[in-house]
Amino acid sequence: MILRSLGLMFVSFAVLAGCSSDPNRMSLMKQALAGKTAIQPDADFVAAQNAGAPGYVAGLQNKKNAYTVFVRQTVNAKGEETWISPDRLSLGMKDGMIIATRGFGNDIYAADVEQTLQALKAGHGAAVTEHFITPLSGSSQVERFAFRCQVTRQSREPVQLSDDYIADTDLFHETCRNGQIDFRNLFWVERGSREIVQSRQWISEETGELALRAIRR
Amino acid sequence: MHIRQLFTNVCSFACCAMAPAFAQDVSLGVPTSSFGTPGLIDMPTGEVFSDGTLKTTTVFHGGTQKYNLSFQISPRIFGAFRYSIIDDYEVTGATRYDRSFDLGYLLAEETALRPSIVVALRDFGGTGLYGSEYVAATKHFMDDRLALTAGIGWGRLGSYGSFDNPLGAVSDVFDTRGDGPSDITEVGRLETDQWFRGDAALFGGLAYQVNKNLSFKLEYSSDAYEAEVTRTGFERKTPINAALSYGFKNGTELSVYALHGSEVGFMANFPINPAKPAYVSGIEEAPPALMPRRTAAALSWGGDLHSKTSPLFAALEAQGITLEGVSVEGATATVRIANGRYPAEAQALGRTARVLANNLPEDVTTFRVENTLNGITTSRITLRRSDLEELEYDLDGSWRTFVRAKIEDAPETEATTVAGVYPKFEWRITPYLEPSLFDPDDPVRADFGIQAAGSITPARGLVFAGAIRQPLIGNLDTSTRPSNSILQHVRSDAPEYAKQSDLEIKYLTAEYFFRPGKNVFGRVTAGYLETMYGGVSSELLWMPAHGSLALGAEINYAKQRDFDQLFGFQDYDVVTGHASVYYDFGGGYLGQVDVGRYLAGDYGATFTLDREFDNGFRVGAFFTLTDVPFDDFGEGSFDKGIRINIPIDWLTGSATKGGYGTTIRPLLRDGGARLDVRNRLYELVRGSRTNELEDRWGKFWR
Repeated sequence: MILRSLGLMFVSFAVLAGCSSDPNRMSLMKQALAGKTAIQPDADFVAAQNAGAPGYVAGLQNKKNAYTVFVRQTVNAKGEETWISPDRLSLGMKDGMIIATRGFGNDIYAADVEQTLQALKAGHGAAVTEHFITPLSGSSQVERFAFRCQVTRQSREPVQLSDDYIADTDLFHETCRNGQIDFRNLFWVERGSREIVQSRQWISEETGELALRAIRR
Repeated sequence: MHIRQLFTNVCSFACCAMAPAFAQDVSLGVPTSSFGTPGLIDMPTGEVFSDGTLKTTTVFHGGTQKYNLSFQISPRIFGAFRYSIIDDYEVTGATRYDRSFDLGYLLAEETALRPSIVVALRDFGGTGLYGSEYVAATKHFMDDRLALTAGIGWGRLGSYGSFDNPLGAVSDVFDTRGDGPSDITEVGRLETDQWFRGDAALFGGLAYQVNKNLSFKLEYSSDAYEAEVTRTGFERKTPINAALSYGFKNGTELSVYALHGSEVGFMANFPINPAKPAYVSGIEEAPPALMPRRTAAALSWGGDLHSKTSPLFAALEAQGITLEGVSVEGATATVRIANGRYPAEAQALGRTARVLANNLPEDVTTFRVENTLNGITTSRITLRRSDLEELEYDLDGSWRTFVRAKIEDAPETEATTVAGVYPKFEWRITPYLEPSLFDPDDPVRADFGIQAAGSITPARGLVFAGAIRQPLIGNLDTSTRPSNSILQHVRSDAPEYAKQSDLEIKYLTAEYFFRPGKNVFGRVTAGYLETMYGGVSSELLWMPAHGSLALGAEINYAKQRDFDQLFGFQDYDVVTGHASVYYDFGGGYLGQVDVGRYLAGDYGATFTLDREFDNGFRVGAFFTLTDVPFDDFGEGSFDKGIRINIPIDWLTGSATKGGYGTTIRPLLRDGGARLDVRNRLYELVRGSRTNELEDRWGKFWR
């Protein structure tokens, strides 16, 4: 909910934008003036939450107090999921791995994570995978990053998902590089179910990493 | 002698510095000269900035101030505009206020063996205060930490340690340099009889990156500072200048330098990369998720689609999109939309497509979306529902959706109108800032105030709009220089408008937009068209849905408004108009030529070249040549300027249409002045045509 703390920018924008019949401009100004007052949670978010959809607690690693909650809104025929937050950020997910983000400022347009996902599910001690990311630049000049990644099992770790549920997980590192950019994703994969219950995943150099932990009710 | 001295210096420094080992990953910027162009201190280098770099450079030393704005127009071409203030420079002892332009070209890029080479003109269209030409070569060493430069200069850059022009071997014309402007009215012309002519001199120097933040520059200057020495008492004790610069992570650089052993100068430069806004992909809300298909029953389908109460209307409205018309026939749905929010039409289109998919029954498989401009249709884009479903999270989804979309002209709507959309009302109260630059008495003047603007659109295509302004504080009305123009004062009385007005009508118009035929758009505007003119303006634009060429014709009757900017008019009126050719060269380069009659009754043409980045940030330059003789035009000789437009969403990251634009003219005079009517068609239509949709198609899935 506080992911978009853009105080100064909004204030300066409000000064420039003034008042208007355009609700878009007005809401920007209200946000600027209201500071950190909570925003009305998004209706789709509330509906999915009330329907008992699975959720994540999420936090941006390079921003202080940038936490929110995501719930799963829908799954398409290809098993690609769309998750949304109360302030209407969204994530495209495939079995716990991020394949898209929207609203973070420097987003992932789409990603192909199939090989890493298979390696995590197989649970071998080490694997080499390819991980493709297309950033969302807004331009037609689409660039795509192809990373070569080392997926290695590090340790066995308990992850507390709720007061009375502790998941027994293997921690994996996915260390990726493409010559210009390096990043390391962390995945805590529950033994047995092979489900990713906690992770820290890289989005972009500017946005940094997003930490996700499954909510167990 | 001086040359040898220089190279001794260069060598001794380079050799000392060669020893220590350095980290490899230092990112090196191209050093900036006190002229805002790639260079050391006063001397240029053979480098260029990275493509698209826009940079302001401010310089102070002794009684001199220089304000530079430079732009890397293309990977090889750079340009700069400069405003300089030099105390005591005039023969009379008065301060000199000077505007100048530079243009440079990268002849060769650096290779393992060869230096990069730049040829450039400095101050080619001003008073010639800094008038010079050069060829400079730069080669990097020591993991690019050390850059050595050597070059040859003419004009001011050939004024110290000079020798006969080697180009004299090619032709005798190079031996003698032209005189330059003899009085103020000759200023502004291209002094081609000076270029690369007269004595030449060598210059050189080095830039050394000490660490990530700190760099050092040393140069041997071929500029004798002749006029400064004679008139301002400047002391030129040595040809050597040296600078120390501190660079910040965002590219800002602060420098202190020693100039010719007698003065200390300060320089600050701020680069902007227009291609990289802070929030590249925007911070607006995520788009609607694409939901699984549902049956008509599950959607409770069958209510009145043509009312503002339909779920489809509400779902689009939540995205900032107004549903103006809709028809569903068999498997095809056609909608007419007004995009009130997204600067990129592709984004409005992508969101509309997903809303349609989520709100129309499963057997509707084709979506046709009509874009509008004040209610009239522009383009129709056909999308298949199955493509949306297939490509939602596809790694190449952007490009694939684009090639599968069919884009065509939409001279008429094929969607049935939703009742109650019209009339539309809009209003806005905003602050405004109106600057006026380069008056020698006060180089920066501005008014700050509040503006109220509103519009009523009673029916498709018809808009009544107005804006009033109330200046609150400012000094635009303090100008004491009456226009000395011998032409009709069509623009040069600008200070009178500021002096004699208080609450003012910025514009008050009735506009009608229409589609006379396929690929053709029309506009008629009547009323108080702009600050200084009222009348009637009419325009036709031919712009196909695909292709790079557009043609326009505009004819206006304009009558000069009273200085109080209320309802009255002055005696002067004129019929003015232009035929225009617009061409999209690709890569973001947009060219425009307007040929016709200007406000003072002069005939001529305006040439404009803009570079527009995919995100809408735009930098351009223009000049106008008319049958007004240069002498009659007055200072500057002809109208010219540069313009910059920064979209709101570039600054804030939020999806909001509009932007902040400014045009910088060295001088605003009466020749080559065009009517400033609002809503010329090309800019309105362009966003929904194929080229522009393609440029911003990356936003379709945003």
